[in-house]
Amino acid sequence: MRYKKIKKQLANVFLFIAVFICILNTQAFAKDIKFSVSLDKDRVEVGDMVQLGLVFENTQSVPALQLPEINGLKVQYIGPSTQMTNVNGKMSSSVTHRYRIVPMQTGTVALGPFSFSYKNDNYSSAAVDLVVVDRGQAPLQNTAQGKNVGENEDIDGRIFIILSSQKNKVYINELFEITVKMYINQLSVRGIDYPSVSAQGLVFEPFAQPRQYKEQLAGKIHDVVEFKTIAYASQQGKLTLGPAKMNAKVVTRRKAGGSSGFFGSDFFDDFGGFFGRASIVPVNVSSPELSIDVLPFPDQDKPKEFSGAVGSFKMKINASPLELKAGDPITLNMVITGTGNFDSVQSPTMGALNDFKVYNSEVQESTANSKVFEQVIIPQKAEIKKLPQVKFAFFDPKKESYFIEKNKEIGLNVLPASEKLAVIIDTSNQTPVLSSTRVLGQDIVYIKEYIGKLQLDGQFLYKKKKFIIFNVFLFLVFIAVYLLQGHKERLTHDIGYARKLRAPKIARVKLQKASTYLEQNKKELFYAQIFKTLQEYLGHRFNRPSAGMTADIVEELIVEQSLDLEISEKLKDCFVQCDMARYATATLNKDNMRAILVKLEQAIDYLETYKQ
Amino acid sequence: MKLKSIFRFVIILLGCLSLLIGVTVYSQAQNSNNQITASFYKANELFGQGNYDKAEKVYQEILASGMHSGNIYYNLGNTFFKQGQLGKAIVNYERAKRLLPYDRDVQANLKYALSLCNNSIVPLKKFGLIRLMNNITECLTLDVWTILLSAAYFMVLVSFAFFMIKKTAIFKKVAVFLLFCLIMISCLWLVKFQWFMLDKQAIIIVSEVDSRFAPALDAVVHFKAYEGAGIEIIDQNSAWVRIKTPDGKIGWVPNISVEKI
Repeated sequence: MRYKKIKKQLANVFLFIAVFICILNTQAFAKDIKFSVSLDKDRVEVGDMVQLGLVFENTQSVPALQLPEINGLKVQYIGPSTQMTNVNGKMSSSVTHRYRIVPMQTGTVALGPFSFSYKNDNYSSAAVDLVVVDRGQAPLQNTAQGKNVGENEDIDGRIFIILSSQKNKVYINELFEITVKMYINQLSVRGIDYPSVSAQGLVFEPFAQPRQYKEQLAGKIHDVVEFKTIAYASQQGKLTLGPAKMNAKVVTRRKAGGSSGFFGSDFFDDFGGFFGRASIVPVNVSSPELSIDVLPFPDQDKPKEFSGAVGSFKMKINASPLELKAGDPITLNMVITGTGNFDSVQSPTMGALNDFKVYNSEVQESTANSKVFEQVIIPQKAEIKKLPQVKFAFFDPKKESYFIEKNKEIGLNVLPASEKLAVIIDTSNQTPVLSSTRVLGQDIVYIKEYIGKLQLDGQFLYKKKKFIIFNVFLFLVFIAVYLLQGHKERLTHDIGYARKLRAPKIARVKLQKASTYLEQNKKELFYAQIFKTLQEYLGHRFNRPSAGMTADIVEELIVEQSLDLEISEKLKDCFVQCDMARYATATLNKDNMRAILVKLEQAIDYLETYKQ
Repeated sequence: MKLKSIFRFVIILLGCLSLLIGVTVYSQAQNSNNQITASFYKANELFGQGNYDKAEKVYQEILASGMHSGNIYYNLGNTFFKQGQLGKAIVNYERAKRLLPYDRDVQANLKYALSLCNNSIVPLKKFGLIRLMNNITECLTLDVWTILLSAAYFMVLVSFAFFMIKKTAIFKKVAVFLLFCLIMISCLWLVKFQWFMLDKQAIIIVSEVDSRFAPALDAVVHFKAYEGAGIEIIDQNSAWVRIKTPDGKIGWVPNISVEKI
């Protein structure tokens, strides 16, 4: 059972697909087949290749045609290319049979008209001309305007713009569409700017995002970039639209200076892009001008409320409150909707306003399809029973006549300024109950009793010295922390630096001890202390092992660091006396000891002064 | 260890210093001028008696002494309102609003005074970011923005100092985040600052004035400006000011017809 059900469902799906394909085909053949011929370029040099396309629109099943032999041309079929497009739900298909054509002699060759029969119908195309010139011959001047290409690849006539207007006759304030199309044929174009269109007496909206598609023009397939905008005329008479101007950048191949030698051949030109011979050329193109005839509003049946609104509009009025006291405001909300030029829509007019105080209306909201006005009116008398009628007049350019939108009568219940509003509730089984609506008065809030925070006029916190000093102090503290942290990190990572810093402190302690030995006349201990101080200090100072410090090594280090050689001599003396003291202590007296102590102190002072 | 103790000491020192400055600023704020306060009470009394022109004079004298407060501007605004000078009332409510942006009385009176004006100008829509920045800056006074800026600056320095000492990713993230906050607050502070410094906002103080294409009485009238309308002064000479309305119209009006906020 289940298998049967699945089978039935599958059959339904296939049936649906088959019907869908049939509908598609029916739609395709329901349309007429359009047959046209295109060339990728209409001017070539002898021996160059040009591509011919036979385009069959609204079908994809037309076979390739066998082209007749044409004198002076070699023709070879390349193959078909098909295309199917869906624009706004409408399907269209086409097939293009492409042929390679190589001209063998100069002159103008007419390609076509071609004709063929398909399903008992005959179709024929227009003819296109191919101009064949000698090799190296300069290209023709083009027909498009505005080129500055110079010696680069020929782009003349392959990029141009067309300015068009939806209407040539319009009324003042009537919206119409303006289109600028850039046509590009077999060129690589970048950086296309939005068009600039000069026009006096016309108001434009900015151009919308461009649309891109392909279009056949004069037998050639062009890439089209289409810009559209909406405009309206603000003055009557014959106005000039355009020229439209556009800037773009064309990527071209440089030709080899017109030489037809070995390196001037097409073969090497083909490598132009690869070897960096392509260049970008700025191109300015402009279109011809258009003439727009701007008609004035007809005087016949022109309503007095008409203020220039053009289009087709509806008006909706909303007023509140409808029950109020004389002197209280009523807010009118007037919404204009429809299609047309909303810039030209002014506030609707009101009739018989003698008993009202009227404030100017304000635009609350304005969109592409609506405009909302708000107006405040105040009834001055209690006798007023209805709102004045609101009218909005506009001119419909399609029907070429004026229309007036009016609101329905809106009733009002205006009470005298002191009277209370009576509200009757259900009186079927009860005695009447009077309820009152509280009417709130309006006035300003009373004055402040306290003076508040007094301050000098123009004196702000950022100007106060204490505040500035505080902030500068913060920054200085931050800098101090930064420097201290940097020092701490160096002490941790740079052993030489740490030893160099520690050296004088250690030396000072040891020299103090040596000085004590000197006072006590303990020669052996004194010299041992001096030697120890000498080695340890120099070891730390030059970041070397202390035990390995000798007079010769110290001399080398002093020379290496370009220090005073006298210091080297003093240190050498210290080393010599210390050596002597080990073997002949008796020869050294207290003066010698004092002298060596002074020398060592001087040497240390010097080395500390000239620390690197 | 030694560096840590130095850092602690610096933090404590900064705390003490901040406290000291805070106390000084507070005591200065409290040290109000007795004479000015007495004049203020006198003006309030005159207002209560319905003697609005005399009350106005006393409030003006207080302001002429160089001292001001939001409440003085507010009361002066009320005095002008009671005398039927809506434009001048609005000017003073706007001044009060700058000093007391959160005060509901100021907002209510300003709104009510504006509702009585014949102002049909539809302001041009501003770019979203500019509108947002203006709305944010309007919430606080310049001094409060300055304190916020200084606090953000302090926190950025502290967080970067911690990052230098600890070298951890969390301190780095916090420091970068606070730096971003500091940049944002700086931008808002600058918006507020230029608002004060450029001194371009003004109000029409006469019931109706013709705005002309040139600074001359025989110049063509471009549009009419009404009392209470907020405008921007873009140029001025000895007798005329060039104004721009919120809907983008530009024209010249006599300088006696406008008053800067």
